[in-house]
Amino acid sequence: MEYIATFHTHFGAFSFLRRLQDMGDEGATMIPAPRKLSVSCGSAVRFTFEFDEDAMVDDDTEGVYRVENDDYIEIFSNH
Amino acid sequence: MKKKNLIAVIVTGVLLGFAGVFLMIKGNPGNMGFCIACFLRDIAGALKLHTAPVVQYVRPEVIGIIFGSFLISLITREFRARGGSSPLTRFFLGFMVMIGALVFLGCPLRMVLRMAAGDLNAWIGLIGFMIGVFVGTLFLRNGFSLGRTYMKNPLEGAIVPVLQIPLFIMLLVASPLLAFSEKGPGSMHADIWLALILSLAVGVIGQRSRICMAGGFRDVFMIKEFHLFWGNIAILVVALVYNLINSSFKLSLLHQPVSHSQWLWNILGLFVVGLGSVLLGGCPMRQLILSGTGNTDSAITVIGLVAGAAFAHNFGLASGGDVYEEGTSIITGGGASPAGRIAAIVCIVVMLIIGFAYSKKPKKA
Repeated sequence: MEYIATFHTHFGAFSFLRRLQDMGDEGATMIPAPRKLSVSCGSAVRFTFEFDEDAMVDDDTEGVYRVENDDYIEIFSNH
Repeated sequence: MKKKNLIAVIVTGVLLGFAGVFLMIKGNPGNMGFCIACFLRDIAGALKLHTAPVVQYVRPEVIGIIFGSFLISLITREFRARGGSSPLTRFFLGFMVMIGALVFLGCPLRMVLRMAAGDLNAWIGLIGFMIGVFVGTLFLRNGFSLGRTYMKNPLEGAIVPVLQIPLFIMLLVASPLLAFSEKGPGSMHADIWLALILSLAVGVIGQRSRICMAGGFRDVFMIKEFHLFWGNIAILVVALVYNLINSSFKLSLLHQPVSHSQWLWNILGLFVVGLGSVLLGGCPMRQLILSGTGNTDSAITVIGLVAGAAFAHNFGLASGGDVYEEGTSIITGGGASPAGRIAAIVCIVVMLIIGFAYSKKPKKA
């Protein structure tokens, strides 16, 4: 399963990425936030580990989406 | 999806490259068909926030970009009033970015338009811009953040976009409340409606594509992602070809319009712009576009840019274009002013302090 997380700040993205890597998700990577998900030019993180809200998100995490057939299903929101 | 984004960025770049030369041909100053810093400075002058008589005019290009972005974000329901991310710090970062831009004589967009016209001073300035962006990405990598934004009352997000309407009406009727330059760059301008329509288009597709002059380099340095960077390349290529066709391409350091040849101050001026733009999350053009989408932090930044322009001219911080001895290439005046040089150094020091002060260690969940 592929997920994309968007953030309020670049710092949030870097922190999220580091947490994912500490959890062992070597495939987690920083990407530009997909246009459909954000009007800012902020960064996003693409990852494959099963989403775990308690272990992964903080206040800088804006949203988490499951990627399904080129579409994004929102599974966490913090706008 | 990714390909669609890339096409949108390139289309925006093509339009900016075209409009940047076309508006110059139609009356805007040399290599200044589009320059967000110069145009905000001219608006500051028109509003009598500074009294430099040669740079006072309400530029419809700024109005169009903000309003175009506002309209399209309303239509696509992307208009969201958001703010609260260290607004006062953003104001001063915008203030300092403007000082850097006026030491160089142009924002990153004009830098590319100058490069495309053969102005080697802009190619030299590019070094400073790239280093500034790179240093900015080092701060981002090491935990720099001005904090998150929060939802605001929609009215707050609409203030700056809606204010463009009375400003445009005042321009249209040549309101006596405003100051208009009678000579110099401020007196040179394209037809109001032509400039407005082109810049509305830039605002609309710029909002869709998220083009950002600093963001292009930032993403290359930070995540090796090139899609925004292709927008910069598109501006350069289209403006270069148009300049060649129009015979307005002249490869030289000297006798370039509204520019000076002091390489150190061109580099340091754009270093300030590059670093400040990354700390702010976007170049001056991107700040206009984000203001249109309801981002009040960007609106504060734009007000900071205007205030910076006013101070730069009131306190003699802005550079002057090279002045030559009649019929020669001997420079007799112009360039960065003593006060401008001190201000550029102070801006670098203050930005570095801000960079360190707002950096923190990654958080655990």
